[in-house]
Amino acid sequence: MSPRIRVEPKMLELDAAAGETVMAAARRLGFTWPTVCGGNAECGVCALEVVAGGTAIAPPTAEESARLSTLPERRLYPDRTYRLACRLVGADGLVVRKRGVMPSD
Amino acid sequence: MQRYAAFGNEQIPRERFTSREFLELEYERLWPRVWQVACRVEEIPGPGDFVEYAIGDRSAFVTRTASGAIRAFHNTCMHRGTALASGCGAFAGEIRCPFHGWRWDLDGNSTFVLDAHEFPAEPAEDLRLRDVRCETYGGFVFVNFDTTAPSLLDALEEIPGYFDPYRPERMCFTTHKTTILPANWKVVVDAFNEGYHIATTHPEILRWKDDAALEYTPLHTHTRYGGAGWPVPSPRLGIPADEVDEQELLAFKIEDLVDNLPGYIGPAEAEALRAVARAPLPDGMTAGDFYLKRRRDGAVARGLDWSHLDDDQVLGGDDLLVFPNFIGPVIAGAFFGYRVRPNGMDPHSCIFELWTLEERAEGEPHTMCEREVYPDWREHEWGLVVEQDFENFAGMQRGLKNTAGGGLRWNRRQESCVRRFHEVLDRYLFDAPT
Repeated sequence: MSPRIRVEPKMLELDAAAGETVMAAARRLGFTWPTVCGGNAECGVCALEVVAGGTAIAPPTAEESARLSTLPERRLYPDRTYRLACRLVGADGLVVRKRGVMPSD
Repeated sequence: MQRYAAFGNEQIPRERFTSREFLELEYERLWPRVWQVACRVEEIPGPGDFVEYAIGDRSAFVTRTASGAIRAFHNTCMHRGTALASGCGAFAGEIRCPFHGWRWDLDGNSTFVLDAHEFPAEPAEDLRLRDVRCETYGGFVFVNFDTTAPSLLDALEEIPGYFDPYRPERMCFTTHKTTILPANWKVVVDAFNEGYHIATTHPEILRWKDDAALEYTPLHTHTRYGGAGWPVPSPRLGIPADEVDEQELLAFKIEDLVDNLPGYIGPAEAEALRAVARAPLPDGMTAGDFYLKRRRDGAVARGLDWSHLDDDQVLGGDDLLVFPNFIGPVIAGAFFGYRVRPNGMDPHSCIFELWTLEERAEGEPHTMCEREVYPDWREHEWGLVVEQDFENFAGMQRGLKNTAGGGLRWNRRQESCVRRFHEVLDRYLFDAPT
């Protein structure tokens, strides 16, 4: 069974392929995900908040952690978990929150 | 070495950033003829206080005379040429050469020649220190090595129209930092003359600024960009208007400015603003409304009159380039300026200074801040935003030496001020003096 990811606040359901990042799944399924660098873990613009299902995901690599360390959202909400959508591989039952995810008409 | 058509879309040859010949041409035709910022009036409050200003092999010093006037002289002894001033400091009543003790009053008149009778007779006037043109605007002391140059105010053209409302004459230094950056001086000026790099180099700013909405105003000689001060997320984030969280916006804007760009908001204001970054917004107030009100109320409390400033000047300000090498944002209450000079005969590095100024109420006392010097910029914490810019420079200069990519391409709108700067530079380098 492919991992199903929910994206708040629009309550989008993304059926990701095994090993696929959240951003890649969203794009393949016809959505734009906010980014400036295009998915290279450089801009931090794709960052999402993990709302539930976080135990099933792999921890961030050193590269992702470095980018997350200066994320303004993290400073503002130190108790929340942020990950980069371009690096986070989906897991079934994962619920994330990201504004600006839109159907790419 | 090439110039390019002034208002076209031509690609830009790389050697202007890398060649020794181009640097020599600048030393020959630009720097001897252009007004350049030497210091601020508050650096020389009393008679005899001086600041040296050097550009390449040329050196002048600015000093205050017994009557309180500000003058500048070529920094060389009329005897055997020794430099009379180094860095900054204070002459003890007179200017004295450290080598043989010749002396001048602070107006540059010769007052003492040791064993004068052993020199051929010469009119005292010939022993005067050689004047350098020196005029002030807004508390900035400018010098010009060209005795025939137009007045400073004429040369500043539209700049006072943009700068005057912020009352730069009431501002004073809060930091004065110098370092060497590993790029041509124009690479550095260009890097601060556009907001096109915000999205990639400073992506955290996208949380609270519509970077794409910045207005670019290339002027006749100088440049200005600005506007887009009202806090909104950049459209690059794709957040629909009804999903914008005003509370977050407020925190992003204040914390980014205060924590990551220290000095952009002056220290007298920064702490109070930082304290309300996460204050609950009153009903019906947006982040912009609240930020604006806090800044305006704070100014009144500190005795500053901003009643003539419009909301854009309080929220976002203007980024000004005073051609050729003094650039930075001015907002209500503060100026965050960079002075950039070539570093000797090395086209691949430059002398960079960060000058932050803060407005003071009339009559409020001021002590000149310490001048900090960091031969390697990595020895110091400059704040995230400035360091993000600094991180780019070595790679920019290294890449420019590689000619494989052909000419440079500039964004027609967002890099229009960059193009104007180079077009004006070419006027100096390639047009016959008028």
